[in-house]
This record gives sequence, structure tokens and C-alpha cells, in this order.
Amino acid sequence: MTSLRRSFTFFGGKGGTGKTTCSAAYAVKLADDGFDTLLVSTDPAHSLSDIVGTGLDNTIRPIRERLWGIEIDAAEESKRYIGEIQDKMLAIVSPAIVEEIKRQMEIAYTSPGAEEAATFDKFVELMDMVKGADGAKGGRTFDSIVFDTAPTGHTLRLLSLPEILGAWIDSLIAKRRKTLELFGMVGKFEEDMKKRATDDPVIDTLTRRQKQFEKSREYLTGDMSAFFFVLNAEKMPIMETARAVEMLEKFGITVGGVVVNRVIPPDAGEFFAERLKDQEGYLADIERRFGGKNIVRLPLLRSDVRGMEQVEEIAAILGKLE
Amino acid sequence: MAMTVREIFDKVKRAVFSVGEWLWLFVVASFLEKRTFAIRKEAWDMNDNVMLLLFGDFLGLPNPISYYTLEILPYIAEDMPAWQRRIMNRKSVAAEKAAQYDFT
Ligand SMILES: Nc1ncnc2c1ncn2[C@@H]1O[C@H](COP(=O)(O)OP(=O)(O)O)[C@@H](O)[C@H]1O
Ligand SMILES: [Mg+2]
Repeated sequence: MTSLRRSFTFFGGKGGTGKTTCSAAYAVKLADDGFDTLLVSTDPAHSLSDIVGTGLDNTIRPIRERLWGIEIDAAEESKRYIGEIQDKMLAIVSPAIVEEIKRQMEIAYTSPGAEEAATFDKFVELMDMVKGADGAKGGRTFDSIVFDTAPTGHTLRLLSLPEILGAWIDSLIAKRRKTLELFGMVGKFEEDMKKRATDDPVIDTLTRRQKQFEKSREYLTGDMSAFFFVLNAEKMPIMETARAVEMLEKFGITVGGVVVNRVIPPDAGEFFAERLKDQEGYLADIERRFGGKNIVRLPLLRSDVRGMEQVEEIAAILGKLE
Repeated sequence: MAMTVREIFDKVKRAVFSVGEWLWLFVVASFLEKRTFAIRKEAWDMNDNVMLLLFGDFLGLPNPISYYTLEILPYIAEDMPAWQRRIMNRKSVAAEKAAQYDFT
């Protein structure tokens, strides 16, 4: 059994390029190599179940030996989160106020960022389960986690969330501190506020978030993680991938390489002759742009990927992704 | 029993001094009062601004972290209606001020 350098492997790219196929195949490879592996879909349009032949949902389920899978359900996660807040609220706040605020909670719950935030929370919770992660306290652990991500834009937003919201939280904490300090200076009347200055649940809650963001940044930007782009050898996808690589690297996330999928084999016949020539140019372009990274080519198969046998075939090729 | 000159002198001195003390205390107190008022106002303004950053979306301001600030709501819910009234007042004050200027 070789040792694992990396805990988190991401497959990303445009819709339909082969992200799900590659992540399933890579996870199968790791499991076959003897690593306890968790396969996670963060794409709201889940399709892992189809390819691994096991019904997956928002709970970790076994797929085969040493391999487990889960499809993150943002709606279910946010429902649970809101439920917990409502319970806490009923314990602390008067019913009249709860009634008054209910409608406003609905607003935040359905806000544009909500689905992403809920996905992110589950995402970090799962990352905590990898061996050596500081959240893996006594519970179940995995050697490795493979992520089947949503199409590029969605995934870039998800991965940049801790960076962007982190700054917002920092400034909130500073302002809240300052406010409580001022209340503390004016004594009696705001006695209650003054008490909060030393033991403030608002600052506590914000600080917990801040720590969660910091932790996820550590997971994502260290050598625990690598991101692989799946693309087809065509003009637009190459340019889009180059842009996405640049953005991820700006966020400090390592891009391990690219998987060029659906490469037409040279013996494909007369019908493909023209395309083969174009492809040659694009493959050269890919080498030029991403030459410093891993580049793996997957051949165009005769049919869609059906069943584990074909997945194993692809797994063997993807094994080269160091 | 008649007081000695010395005793009368002491008594007058004490009285004068204590009037001066009161006067002094009065000056200090009203200074502190003003200062306290200013700080208190600053504190409440700042408090309301933080609330706006936390729960601006309740007033229709887009807030990228509104999902995460929801978990703060239980601790702040009691202050929420009063805050919304204050903010609404502030808004209407701003609207009135704006209305004084005719830009057309
Ligand atoms: N190399 C390939 N040859 C033939 N079909 C492929 C190949 N790679 C993927 N496919 C098929 O393309 C479709 C999309 O692949 P999928 O992995 O689901 O893409 P994504 O997850 O990026 O949307 C699937 O039906 C899959 O079986
Ligand atoms: Mg997919």
C-alpha cells in the first residue's frame, strides 16, 4: 500500500465533461489501493448514484469495499439548521417576538447565498472526517475524500466562500467589540450590554464561524488538497479552464492537473479524420498551457460509461494523477 | 453658650467650602453627563449599524452572509423590533432631509 500524499481530491469543470465519471473512477482506484475513501457530490444535479449503481442521498452510504458515498442535499441541511435556530429561539425569546421574526427568517432561508452556505457547512463537516483533520474526534474517519463538484462557476463560489465571508466576519467582530466597549463606558443604564462585553454570545457565534472558515482555508490551501479540471479537447473549454485555474490559484488552491476526456483514438476511422487533426492542435495547446501540471488523457469510449467495469478501466488510467 | 470667634470662623469656612464643593461637583457632573450622553449615542448608533450588517436583508438590503447570521438571531431577537423602528425612523428622517432639496 502506497502512502497517500493528499486527503482531498476535487474534480471540476463544465457540465457534461466527465467530472462524475472521473471522481467515481478515482475513488474506486483509491479504495482498490486499500484506502478508506469517501466519494462526495457537491453538485445539486447529482448523478453519482447512476454511475456507482448504489442509491445515494444526504447520508454516508457504503458503495463497495472501502468505498462510501454521499450526495449533499443543501435543502435538507438548511432545514435542519433553521430548525435548530428556531428551537434555540423558543428557549430564549418570548413567543410574541418569535412570531414577529418568523417571516424574516424565511427571507434569509431563501436568500441567494443560502444553498451555497448550507452546502459549504456540510462540506466542511465531511472534510473534518478525514484522518488527521482536527475535527475527526473519535467519530468515523476516512483516508481520503474525493469530490464530484458542480459546474465551474458554482464551485468557484463555493471554494472562495471562506475567503470572502471571512473578511466580512472579521469586521463584524471588531465592530461588535467596539460597541460593547462603548456601552461599558457609560455604566448603569446599559448594564445589561456591559455584561455582554465579557461574555457575548454574538461574538462567540461569529468567532466560531471565523474558526470554521479558517479551518476550511487550511484544508483547501495546504497540500491536503488538489483540484483537477476535466475538459474536452476543444477551443472554448481550454480557455475557460485556463481562467478557472488562474482563479483557484489566486485563492491558494493547488491545481493538480487536467484530465482531457473523450480523446478520439487515432484508429477511429475515416469519419473522424478532420476532427483528429483539430484535436491535435488543441492537445498541443493544452500541453502548452498546463504543461507544468499532470495531464491525463481519457479515450472516447464506444458508449456512455455503464457499470463498474468501465469505471475500473478509467480508474486504471486516472491512477497516474499524483 | 456663646461661640468663640474661632468657632464662628471655622463654621463659616466649612459652609463656604462645602458650597464650593457642591458647585464643583455640579460642574463636573454636568460635564460627565454630556460626555456620557455622547458616548451613549455613539454606542447605540454603532449597535444599530452592526445590526444592519447582520440583518440588513430583513430590510431588503442584500447580505452575503445572511444565512450565517441567522444563528445570532436568538440572542438578539428581543432587540429586533426596537431596532427596526429606530432604523425606519432614521430612514424617514433621511427621506425628509432629501425632500428639502428640490433637484428638479
Ligand atoms: N470518455 C468517455 N467516453 C464516452 N462517454 C463518456 C466519457 N466520459 C464520460 N462519458 C459520458 O458522458 C456523460 C457525462 O459524463 P459525467 O461524468 O456525468 O459528466 P459531468 O459529471 O461532468 O456532468 C455520461 O453519460 C458519461 O457516461
Ligand atoms: Mg456530474
